[in-house]
Amino acid sequence: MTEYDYFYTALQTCGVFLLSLSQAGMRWAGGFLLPASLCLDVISTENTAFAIVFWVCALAFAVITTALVHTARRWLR
Amino acid sequence: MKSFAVILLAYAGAALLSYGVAGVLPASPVTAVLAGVFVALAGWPLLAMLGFARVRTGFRAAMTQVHDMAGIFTGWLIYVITLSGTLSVFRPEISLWARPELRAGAVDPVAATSAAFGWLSQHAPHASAWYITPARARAPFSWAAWDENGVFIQRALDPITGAPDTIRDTLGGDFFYRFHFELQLPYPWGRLIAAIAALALVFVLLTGIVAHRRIFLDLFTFRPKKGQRSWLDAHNLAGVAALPFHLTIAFTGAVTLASLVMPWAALAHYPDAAAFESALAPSLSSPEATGTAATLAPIGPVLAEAAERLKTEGMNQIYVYNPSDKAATIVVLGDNNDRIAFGTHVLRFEGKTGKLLSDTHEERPVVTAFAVLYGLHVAHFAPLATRWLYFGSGVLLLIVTGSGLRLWLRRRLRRGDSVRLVLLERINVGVVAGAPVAFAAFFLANHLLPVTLANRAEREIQVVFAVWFLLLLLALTLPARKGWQILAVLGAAEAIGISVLSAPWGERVECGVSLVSLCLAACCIQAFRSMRRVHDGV
Repeated sequence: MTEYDYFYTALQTCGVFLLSLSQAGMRWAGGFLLPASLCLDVISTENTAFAIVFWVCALAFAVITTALVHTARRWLR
Repeated sequence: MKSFAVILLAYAGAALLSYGVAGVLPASPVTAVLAGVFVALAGWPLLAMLGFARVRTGFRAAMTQVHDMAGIFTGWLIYVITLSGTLSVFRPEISLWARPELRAGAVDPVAATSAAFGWLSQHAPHASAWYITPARARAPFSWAAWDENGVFIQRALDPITGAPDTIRDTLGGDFFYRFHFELQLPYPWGRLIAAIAALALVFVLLTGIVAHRRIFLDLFTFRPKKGQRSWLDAHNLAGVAALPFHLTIAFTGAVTLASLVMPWAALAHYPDAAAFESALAPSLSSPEATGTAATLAPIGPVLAEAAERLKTEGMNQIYVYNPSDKAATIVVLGDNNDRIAFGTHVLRFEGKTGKLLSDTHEERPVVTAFAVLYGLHVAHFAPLATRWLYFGSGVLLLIVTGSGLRLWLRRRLRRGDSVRLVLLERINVGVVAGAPVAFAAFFLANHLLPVTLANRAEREIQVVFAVWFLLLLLALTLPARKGWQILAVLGAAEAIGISVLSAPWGERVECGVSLVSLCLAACCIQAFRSMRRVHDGV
C-alpha cells in the first residue's frame, strides 16, 4: 500500500462516519466523500479492478470502525 | 415438508431454465452452457424465495421465517467451510510456517522447477501425470502431486535439490484449502455438499436482506451488554458491513463448483459434464499414452520460454502428462498476478522435443466472466493488504454465522427446553468452538510430531479429527455454558502454544501467525471472563 492508499482509506472511513451522523449536512458530506474516495482511488491506481475490490472490502471495516466509535460514544455518555 | 418441496421445485425450475437458456441462446455451445449455469445459480435462490413467498403470507414475513428456518445444520456447514476458507487466504504463508526448515525470500521458480523435474523423473517416472506448483517468494518450495499405483501423492520439494527429504511431510495450508471445498470427504460428496452450502449462503443472505430491512440503521447499531439484543446487533452489523463481500464469495464459491450442482445446462450440447469441461478448456486436455517409452527434453529451455511468454502473469502450475511416454506433453498455466481473472493463458509443449505446440489465451467473453468470478474467489491477485481484508471479511462471516446459530437456538430454548434442543445446543458448542480449537491442534501437531514420523501428513489430519471428535463428546456431556467456558480456555491455551512454537519470530510468517494466535487467545480469555461474569451475576 502506498501513502495515497492510506489517505483514500482514511477518506472512506471519514465518509462512512459522516454518513452515520444524524445531521443532514454531515450525511451529504459523507455521501460526497465516499464516492470521492473511490474515484480518487481508481484515478490514481494502475489496476482499476484491484482498487475496486480493495475499496469494497475496506468499506466493511470502515462501517465496523464507525459502529465501534458510536458504541464508545454511547458508553462515555 | 412444504419447505422441502419448495426448495426441490425451485431446483427443478432452475435446472429447466439453465437447460432452456443453454439450448436456445444463439451462441457457441460453451458460451451458451456457461450462461445457462450462471442463470441457474442465480435462479435457484430467487425461485426458492418466490416459492416461499407464495406458500406463506406476506413477502417480508415469509423471508423472515425462511431466514430463521435455514436451520442449524446449514449454519454449521457454512461455519466450518468459512473457517477453513478464511485460513486458506493465507495458504502459502501457513504452508511456509508449517515447514520451518524453509525460509521466505526470493527463489528462482525456473531453477526450482527444473530441480523438481529432475527428482520426479527419477522417483515417479511411471506416474500418469505430474502436477507442479512452482516455488515463489510466498511459498519458496515446489509443490508436486502425482499418482503412484492409484494413490495420489502430494509433497513439497526443495527448491535447490528438488528432493522432499529435507522438508517435513505436511499438507500445511493445503489442508485448510482442500477441507474448504472437499470437507475431507471422497469425491464428489464433499464438493457437492460445499456447493449446496454456498448456494444456501446466497439464499440466506438474500432472505436476510429482506428480513433485516433497516439496513442503513443496522450499519451503525451495536448495543453491548444487552443480552439477545447485543447478539442480534452483532449479527446484523457484521452481516450488513461485509454484505457485498459475503454475497460475492458465496456466489463465486457456487460458480467454482457449478458443474456438480447444476450439470443440466451442459446436457443441452454435450453428452456429459466431462465432455463440457474438455470443451471449456481444450488446451488442458491430456493426450492418450502411446505405450512407447521416451525421455523428456531438457526442461530448462522450456521453462525459460514459458517464463518469457508469461512475463507479467507469472507461472501458476505446470502439468506433465505421460512423463515417460512418447506422447509426453508439458502444459504451463499462467497465473493472474496482473489482473483479477484467473489465469487462462496456457502454453503447451511437446515433452519429447520441448517444442512449443500452442500458446492460447482465453478470449470468449462468458469464459472470461467465469475466470473473473473464480479469480475473485481464490484471490490469487490480491496483494497483502487485500488478503488481510479478505481474512477480516471471512472473520465477519464467522461472526454472522456463529451469532445466527446462537440466536436460532436461544429463540427456541426460550419457548421451552426439550431433549432435542438441549442436545443441539451442546453440539453447537462442539462445532462453533470445537472447530477452531481442532484446527489450532493442526498447528500444534505440525510442530510437535516427530519430523521423521511415517505418514506424518496423515497423522496431522488424524490429530485434527481426533481432537474435534473428543471436543464434541465433551460438549455433549456438559451443560452448554460449561462447554463454552472449557473450550474457550482450551482455545486460549492452544493459541498461546502456537505463538510460543512460532519462536524465534525471525520470519514475517512466524510473527504473523504468532500475532493472530495471540489475538485469538485474547478473544478466548475475554469470552471466558464475560461468561464467568454473567454466571456470577455481575
